Amino acid sequence: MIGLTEVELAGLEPVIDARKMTSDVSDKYENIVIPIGNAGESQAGDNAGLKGGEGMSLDALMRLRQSALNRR
Amino acid sequence: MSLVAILAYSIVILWLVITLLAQHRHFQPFINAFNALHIIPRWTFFAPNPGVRDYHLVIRDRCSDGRLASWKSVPVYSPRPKFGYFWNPQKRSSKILNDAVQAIKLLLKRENIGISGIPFTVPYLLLLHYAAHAVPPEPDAVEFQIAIIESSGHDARTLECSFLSGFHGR
Repeated sequence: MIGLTEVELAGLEPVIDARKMTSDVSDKYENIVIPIGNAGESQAGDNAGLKGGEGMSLDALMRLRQSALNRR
Repeated sequence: MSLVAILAYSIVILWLVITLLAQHRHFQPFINAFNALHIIPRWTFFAPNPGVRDYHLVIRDRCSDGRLASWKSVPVYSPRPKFGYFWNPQKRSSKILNDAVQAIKLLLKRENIGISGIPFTVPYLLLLHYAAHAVPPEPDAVEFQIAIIESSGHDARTLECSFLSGFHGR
């Protein structure tokens, strides 16, 4: 795979402004489970019932998620 | 050449021609009607909807004075080692990142997750964590955001953005 070139990176702004969802996702990803550290809680579709998160740091997002999961 | 050989050659050649025609959507409905035994393969084989796009993860910083830094590419795919066809454990990490990208696209379509629930899902946190650590921040960066860019084509690539995150503290 060829990464994005400097020219493509420089011209990304209009691409991002015109962002849209593409539909060509394989069905095999519907029930995907990502095997990382907290594997028992790592169902990809589980947001622990939380919404928002804009402006929060990565650590804050992870702490909130963890505490929401612990309350279950 | 015997009659049996001529017949065998004819069948194989006919099979090949029909197989080639079956790859074109114009002929598929007609050929599928006679393909109950599935003896005419399609190029997608076991993956009915194979990936035909490359994914790129990009990141940019917002500095303390509000200025937005330029987009930078997050290295997701490491160079293929010489004997990668035999032993390539590095592929696991790029596979996980690729799965995370796919998962985010699917989660955006789910009503119970959507754009507002995405930041608390594992794929999002994984990509955010990886991007934040893979690319050094600008000296005065206070926040950053990531985006998923898809490219298709070869010579003149078409770029599309399928996901743009909000800003998060560095």
